[in-house]
Amino acid sequence: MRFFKTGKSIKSHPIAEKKENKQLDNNILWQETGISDWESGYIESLISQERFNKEVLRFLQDHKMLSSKEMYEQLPFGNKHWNENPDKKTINAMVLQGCVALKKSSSTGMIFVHLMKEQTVRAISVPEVEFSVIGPKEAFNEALETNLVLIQKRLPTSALQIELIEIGLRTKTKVAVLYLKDVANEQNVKTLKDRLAGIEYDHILDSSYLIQMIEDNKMSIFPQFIDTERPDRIVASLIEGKVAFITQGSPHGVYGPVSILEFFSAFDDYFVSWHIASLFRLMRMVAVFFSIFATPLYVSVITYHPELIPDDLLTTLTTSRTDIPFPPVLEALFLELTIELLREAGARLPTKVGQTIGIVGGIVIGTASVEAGLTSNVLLIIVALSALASFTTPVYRMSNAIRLVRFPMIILSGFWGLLSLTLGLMMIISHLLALTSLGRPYLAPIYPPRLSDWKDSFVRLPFYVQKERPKQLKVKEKRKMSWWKKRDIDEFE
Amino acid sequence: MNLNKSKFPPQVHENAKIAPELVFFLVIGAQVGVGILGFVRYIAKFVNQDSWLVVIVGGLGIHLVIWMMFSILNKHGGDIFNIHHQFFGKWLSIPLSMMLSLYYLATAVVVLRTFIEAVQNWMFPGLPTWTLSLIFAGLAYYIVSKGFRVITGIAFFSFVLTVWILFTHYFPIKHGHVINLMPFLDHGLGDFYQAFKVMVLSFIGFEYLLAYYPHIQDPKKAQKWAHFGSASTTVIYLITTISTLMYFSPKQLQGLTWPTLQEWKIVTFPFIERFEYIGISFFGIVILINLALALWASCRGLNRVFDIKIRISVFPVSLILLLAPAFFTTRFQVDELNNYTGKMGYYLFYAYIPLLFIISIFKKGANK
Repeated sequence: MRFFKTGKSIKSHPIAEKKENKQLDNNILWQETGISDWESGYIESLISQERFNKEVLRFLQDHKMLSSKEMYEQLPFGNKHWNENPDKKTINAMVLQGCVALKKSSSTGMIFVHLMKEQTVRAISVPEVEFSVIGPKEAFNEALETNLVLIQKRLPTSALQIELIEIGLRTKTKVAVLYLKDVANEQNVKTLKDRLAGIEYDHILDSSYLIQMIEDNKMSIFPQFIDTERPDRIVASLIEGKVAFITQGSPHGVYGPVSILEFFSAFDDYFVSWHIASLFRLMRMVAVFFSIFATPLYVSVITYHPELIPDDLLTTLTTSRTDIPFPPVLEALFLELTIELLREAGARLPTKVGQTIGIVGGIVIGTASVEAGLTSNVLLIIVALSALASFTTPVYRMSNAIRLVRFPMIILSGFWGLLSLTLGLMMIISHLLALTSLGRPYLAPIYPPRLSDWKDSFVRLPFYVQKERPKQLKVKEKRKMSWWKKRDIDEFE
Repeated sequence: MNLNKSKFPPQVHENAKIAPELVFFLVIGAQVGVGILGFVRYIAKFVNQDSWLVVIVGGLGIHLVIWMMFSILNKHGGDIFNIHHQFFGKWLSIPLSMMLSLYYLATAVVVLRTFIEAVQNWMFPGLPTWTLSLIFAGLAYYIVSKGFRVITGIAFFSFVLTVWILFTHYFPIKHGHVINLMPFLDHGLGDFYQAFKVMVLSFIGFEYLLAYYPHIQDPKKAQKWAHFGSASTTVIYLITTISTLMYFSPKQLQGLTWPTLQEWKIVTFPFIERFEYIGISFFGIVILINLALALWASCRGLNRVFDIKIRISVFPVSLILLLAPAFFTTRFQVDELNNYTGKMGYYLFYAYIPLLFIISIFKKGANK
């Protein structure tokens, strides 16, 4: 049985036929409007046909007598352009942006009216990854305009600068760079804008493309920008003096410069009382250390230094692995890989199936491998806990990095136990020391040591203590309290 | 190759400079090295229960040297390589600067070899020397190639991460006997002088300042912090000495190579026993800053004299650091290496730097 006929030409398709009758030039549809000698050119899928008919054509009908230039001056549209003698390239560019080109066949002048179809975009929804129980529940969506509105309505000040850049030869992605003119450090703004403008890649489909291209150290596994789906988080970062950018088609705003501690602060920390917030933050940081070092510690102690453990605990540990045929390193790597497999399988599958996989994998495989004598149940507990601990990191990129760092640590601890583990720690620290985010130190409030910035780092102290912006950003306006300022900030030039 | 580079004071970019307070961490980080694990035995050999006095006097002597160093550097600007050029001319300055560079490298080799010996004796008997020196030299290479700010950061972290080890001296002091510190001042001046000379080895590390002085933002302010750092080192050594003297009898002490490690054996927590494993592991961090700073200072000498970029010269220099420890195999050789470097340090501090100081008094300052 055949489903298709070879040799059938696409030309016979009715739509193509229809277009062939008209003048089709580079996808642009050129038509006589039938109103004196006006011609129109546009791309059917891009413009709003209804508005074209109702508004543009009706206006032409009513003002038949006008010349091109006069018509341009009188057309009641905000976004219109006039070009005395356009070449083909300009016409193409304008029409591809959603303009209708209007032209009198008797003259060369051309009017461009912006009539882009209202995009059908996802509605503003609840943030899914950075959900918070208290606080606003708006998240960015894929339309740049909507995202900018979400920010602008929270920051009604003329100091907010929005600069549009177009990146990507083919996708012509619009990127908006945002900062507060009277706060942000000019050097940071310049660095970000220069880097964005220097990108020569031909397609940008998401802000994460840009993040990877403008990072200070592209070889590092640690993220050097934070991307968030919460407009309020972007606004907070702008007010602190950071620089942000939003990409057309990406539901994430990105900001920098950031320091490593910011990756462990969730935005709800500002919505709950400061005691709770501080406790949670500290817990997250302990969780990070636990997640990176718990399994390697187990491996190094069991392999090389069982003398370290007091007698009672040692008995528990040794009985749990009497029948295990593998050295602890292999045992740990096997379990860690299992957990990673479960996570990856759960992430690739639809939510409902994913949950099942988690339960089946976690309970069945875990119990079975202990009963089969492949792993010790103490290690199973440690590995499961450290996997759990790695998911407490609020920024997804960072929690990935932390899970990845664990593997070299486990392998290292298989070499010389605790000694190689401390060396591993120093490797991480020296790498983090060398890292910068937009040229600012990555380990900022810890090193270079700035105690005054610690108020909002490991802990989140009450708002009345935090009267100043972080020193490491080198901002123009250091104070957050408005009574410091005699002049109205909206009188900013 | 531009042999005239050291004629001019070095140009350090503002971004590569460090705040003067951080000199504290650099001084203390470089001074406290592997020596603290065993130095008490060497000075106790001469003065026994009076060792603590030698530590204090040794520390005071270092303050004098630091003061001289700062007055030379403050007056003539630049760094030691520039000062060599100013004082001795182009051709004489090259061998002098190179000797200093070599000395810096030697301090790194001493520290690394001695630490590897401690690891081989206490943790992993039979571990090939090159394996550990490979990982240490590799790490030091990475740190040095990232620039001076990162080295300072490592100094900061190594202090923060290891300062708690000092509190473990609580256990030996608790179990020790004050009577071991008596009688007071029981030795001749000759013995004290001998012990003082040996003690210099443990204070080695602050002389890297001669090389990194131009990297300090407001160098004159840093002097206070350098003194403070050295004073803290003296306090740390003092605590170590007193706890060791109290815990071991003189005879017992002479039978031990690593008294501090031996002390850690009685450190117990409800969840941890045999603390010396943890102690040695954390000492890896202390060693690392010693190595990184020495390696950097050595490469900086090459940079200043021969105009070779640090990023390039650090590779062959760290290769030497990797290979050199393997040539010292026995306890005796390691001891000799230590003695020899100690002597070099002694002459550097108490002969060469005073000499420079005297010249600098009579020589007109370069700036202002």
